[in-house]
Amino acid sequence: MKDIIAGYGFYIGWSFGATAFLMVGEWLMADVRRRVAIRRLRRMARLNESGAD
Amino acid sequence: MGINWFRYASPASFYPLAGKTIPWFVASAVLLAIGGLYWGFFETPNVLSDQKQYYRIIFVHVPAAWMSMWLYVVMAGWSLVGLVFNTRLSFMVAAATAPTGAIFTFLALWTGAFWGKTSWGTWWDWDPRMTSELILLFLYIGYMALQSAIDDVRRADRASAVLAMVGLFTIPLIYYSVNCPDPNQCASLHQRSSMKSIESNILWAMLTMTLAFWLYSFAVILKRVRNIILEREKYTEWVNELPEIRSQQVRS
Repeated sequence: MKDIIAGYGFYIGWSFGATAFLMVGEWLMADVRRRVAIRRLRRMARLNESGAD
Repeated sequence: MGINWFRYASPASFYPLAGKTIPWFVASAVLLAIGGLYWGFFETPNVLSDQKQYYRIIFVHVPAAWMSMWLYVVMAGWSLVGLVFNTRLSFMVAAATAPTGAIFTFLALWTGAFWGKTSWGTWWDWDPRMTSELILLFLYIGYMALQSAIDDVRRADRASAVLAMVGLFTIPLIYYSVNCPDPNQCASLHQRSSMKSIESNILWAMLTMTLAFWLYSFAVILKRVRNIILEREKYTEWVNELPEIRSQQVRS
């Protein structure tokens, strides 16, 4: 492992790092989108219950 | 007693089912990725033919490249099903697949650049495979742009479905860019695809990572389909009766 980091850490780090970053980032973005959608739906439901336009 | 699969073509039936399966896909993907990385870094040889340790980029580069092509076929397939059967859910799945496919295509190009720099001495070359993969990335971006450029969702779905199917020509193009019958006619920096010449340990680590990427893709695509369902079906009664929506109403 030390050989890999010392010799090719830059190339391997940027390859595996970008993969992990984008996959986790994509997951979190989907999570944010879900929270936004749920918040909008709740607001809409509250407005409907209170009888507001 | 058979399962009525058509029942799950309805967003109302699909939404809770997808919610139940996502944690299983995530857990399996994480476990397989940990196993694949351990295998790839600790149980494989330090050299692959004339390549040194940097060849280990293969464990993300090749699975990402495979995923980029398979997800495009999945996206075009669901688009075709949507056009033929006029099912809303098919278009939603196709739309949810595009961003994940685009990310894997970008990753195939990105990791390929780092691998190329170490093995060929260049970040980029207009090699047939790299160029066809770049075209695939543009197709994914074009699909998403077209989808969001048209306000009417049904028209957007149909237009982008046609684009997805037209773009299918890139898949054989990517494959045959290095596997053409006459190797002299497709001079490429990439080697011809051959599973037999790869050492079994390297191959299995690569296949484990591919399976992890598949399971991750299932999870994130299902998560995005659920989001699209919430956005598109917001005026339906069943969405407003969902526990995550009702719980707030009870408190307020």
